[in-house]
Amino acid sequence: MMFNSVDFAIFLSTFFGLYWFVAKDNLKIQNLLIVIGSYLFYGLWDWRFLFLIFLSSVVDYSVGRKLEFEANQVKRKILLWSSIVVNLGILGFFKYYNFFLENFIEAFSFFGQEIQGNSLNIILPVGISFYTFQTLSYTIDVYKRKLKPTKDFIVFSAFVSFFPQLVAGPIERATNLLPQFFKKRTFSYEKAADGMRQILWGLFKKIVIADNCAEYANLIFNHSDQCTGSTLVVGAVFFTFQIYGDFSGYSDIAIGTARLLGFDLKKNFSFPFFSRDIAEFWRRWHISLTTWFRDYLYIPLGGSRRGTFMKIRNTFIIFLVSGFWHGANWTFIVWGLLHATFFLPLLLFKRNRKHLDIVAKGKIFPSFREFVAMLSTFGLTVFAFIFFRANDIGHAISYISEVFSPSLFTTPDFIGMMEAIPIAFLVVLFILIEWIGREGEYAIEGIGLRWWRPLRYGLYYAIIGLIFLFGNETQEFIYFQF
Amino acid sequence: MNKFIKRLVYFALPLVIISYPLDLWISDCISESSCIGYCSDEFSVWDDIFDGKIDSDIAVYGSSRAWMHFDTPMMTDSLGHNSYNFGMNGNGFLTQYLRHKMYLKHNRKPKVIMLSVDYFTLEKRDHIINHFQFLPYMLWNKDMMEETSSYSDFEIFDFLIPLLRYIGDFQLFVDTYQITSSDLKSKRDRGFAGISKGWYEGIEETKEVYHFEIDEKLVQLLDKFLQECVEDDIEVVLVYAPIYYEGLKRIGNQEEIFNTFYDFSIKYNLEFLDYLDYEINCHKFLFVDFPHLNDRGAYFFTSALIEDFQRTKALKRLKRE
Repeated sequence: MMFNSVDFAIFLSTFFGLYWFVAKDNLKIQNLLIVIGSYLFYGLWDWRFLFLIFLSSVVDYSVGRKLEFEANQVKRKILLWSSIVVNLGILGFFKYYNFFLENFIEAFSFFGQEIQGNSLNIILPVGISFYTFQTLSYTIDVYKRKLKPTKDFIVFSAFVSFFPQLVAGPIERATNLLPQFFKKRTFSYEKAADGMRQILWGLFKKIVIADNCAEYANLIFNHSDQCTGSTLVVGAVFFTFQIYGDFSGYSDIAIGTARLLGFDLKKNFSFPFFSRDIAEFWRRWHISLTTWFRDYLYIPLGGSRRGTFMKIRNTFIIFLVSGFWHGANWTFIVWGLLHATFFLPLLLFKRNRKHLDIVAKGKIFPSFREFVAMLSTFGLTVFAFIFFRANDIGHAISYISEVFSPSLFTTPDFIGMMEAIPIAFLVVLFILIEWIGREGEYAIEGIGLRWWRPLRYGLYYAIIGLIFLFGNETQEFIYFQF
Repeated sequence: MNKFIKRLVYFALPLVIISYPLDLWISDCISESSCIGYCSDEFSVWDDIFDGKIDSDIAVYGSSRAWMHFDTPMMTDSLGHNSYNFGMNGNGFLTQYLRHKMYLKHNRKPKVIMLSVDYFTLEKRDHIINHFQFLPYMLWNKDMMEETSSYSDFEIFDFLIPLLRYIGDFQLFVDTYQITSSDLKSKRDRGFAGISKGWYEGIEETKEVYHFEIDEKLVQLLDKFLQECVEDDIEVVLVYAPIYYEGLKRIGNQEEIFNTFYDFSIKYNLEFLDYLDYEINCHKFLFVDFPHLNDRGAYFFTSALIEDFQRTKALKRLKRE
């Protein structure tokens, strides 16, 4: 069930009631309820893949338990690698089997050898890229002795399957989330109210911004051969806001839902479109994934510490893998490599950690330089997102070719353009609200907290009103396909 | 926790209280607007149904080939019996049956039903065309919920929760306001609306032959409907209205479709008025496109229909009563 559905509202309300009124002060029952609720939640997506989550949980729980008492380093490594192989094996099979097979066949035919291969009709289990990485973080942290393994299988299952973040993140670290299952959770009004606010904002981003932008992004991308360069730019911008609204909206709902249940999940997006360079963008976009790759791939590979060549190599590996994580298509790989190309000069000239604080902190307006920097960074991300959205490399190249043609200087023109104008205004309003609230965890976190309550409620009613008027036909969350 | 629940209730209460009256008001505005662009002028018919305004002896059912072809004002004048045209643009028998149910629920039953049948009637579909037409009437309407449940256009909550089905319909509200503010009124007179247009030239370019898959569930529903009419003592007359002769060649399974209705006419001893060989079928100037007559064509067809209807037992029964 989708987060923006009546089904989920009923599910969450029922779960909330059982969690706080029935399970109440009993931690064990609350954790068990989380497991049951999460498996039910996932089962409603596709019950056939419940076994995979269970398998992943059993394997990594067992590996964790064995690692606790295993002192022999070789055996410890074997245990770790068995977890990695099982988890990545499952992920690799479901996500990449057909991709590798097709490319294998094509590579052989390039050399004049025809080979036969049967691609499989494989359904990608929802959330597999997220929960496999989450469980891997557990075994790796246990291996590195950063974390003591848990003996409680119910708690571990709850950690793996926790429904707010099960299907599209944030990818939680065991060091952050697992201990919260052992701490008594008492209901906090402030936390719950904040959670509701974040859910509301997430719904606005998803239903109003993402789903409306999706309509025009799809229209333009699906008919890109008939569009002018200026129209294609509009399409790329719509897609950029679609993916941001969709993914960050989902994350907001996930984090808000977790807060309703007394849990704190890590922030996954931190106003990435206000980034002044690509390095800052990657500190603000899909934070849980980028930090995962940093900690579990980049640093073990040596990070920036083994000379320039290794620095460049490791950077490209990270972005390549990050792109590939998104899907079995060369477009995602190119998207990742593009970002590597944008990032590398900053890294080599040691300017990748120049902007650590939010832009124009404490100020109302950015400086002209900051504004230009944000606009340029936004432009680069929009450009790269063309590859992310395109059907294949050929599509992306023809899209970009038309963008950089004389038709770029014509007026955009596409079917439904007049109806897109209110949506453009909504996007501008959205950016404005994000700008005002950029120093918080999410845009409306602090807005109106000091206002007279009816006025504050009026703000929330206005957001609900916008959802009512402009909520578009439900599109699936983009990141569910990853 | 108490504070949270209290605040949540205080926050949600105004929304809950206002949702039902707001839903009623929006539904009223939309249905009165005619919203021609969205639903081909179906609201005026639905309004007549739900307001119990239909006092007819003869009811015409069907798709656009009903509401464009059967001139019910002319039939009323000529036959001396009130007639009403319930034709639904682009809709097959499932939604025609729904309309029939709503009609009988809120109005006195007719004595005769003329069912306009064709390749559309029993065609397998996934979606309802013009599903906007149901919006104003859906709330807590159990019959509508049941009859549309096999389509993916609506969810159960759309029928139960006020305002939910209107989420995102900003453009609909704008159009409603614009239409309501203008002089635009429904063109349907007793449900009939002739089209004053000539032949659409673009049609002839397509030479494709189409196969219209018959949905077995709709066949069963038609059977059920005819059985109910027998029990309710309603005479049913099947009418296969004219199709431009070139169009007939484009229907790959025309014989199968025709025979399905013919078999029903035998089973229930129904009059079956077949106009597939009617003389006007080769006159392009009387058609808008292959399946649709224009207003002049509708005049000729309705004249022939009235004449043929006078020889049926259905009219004889009407005269007796």
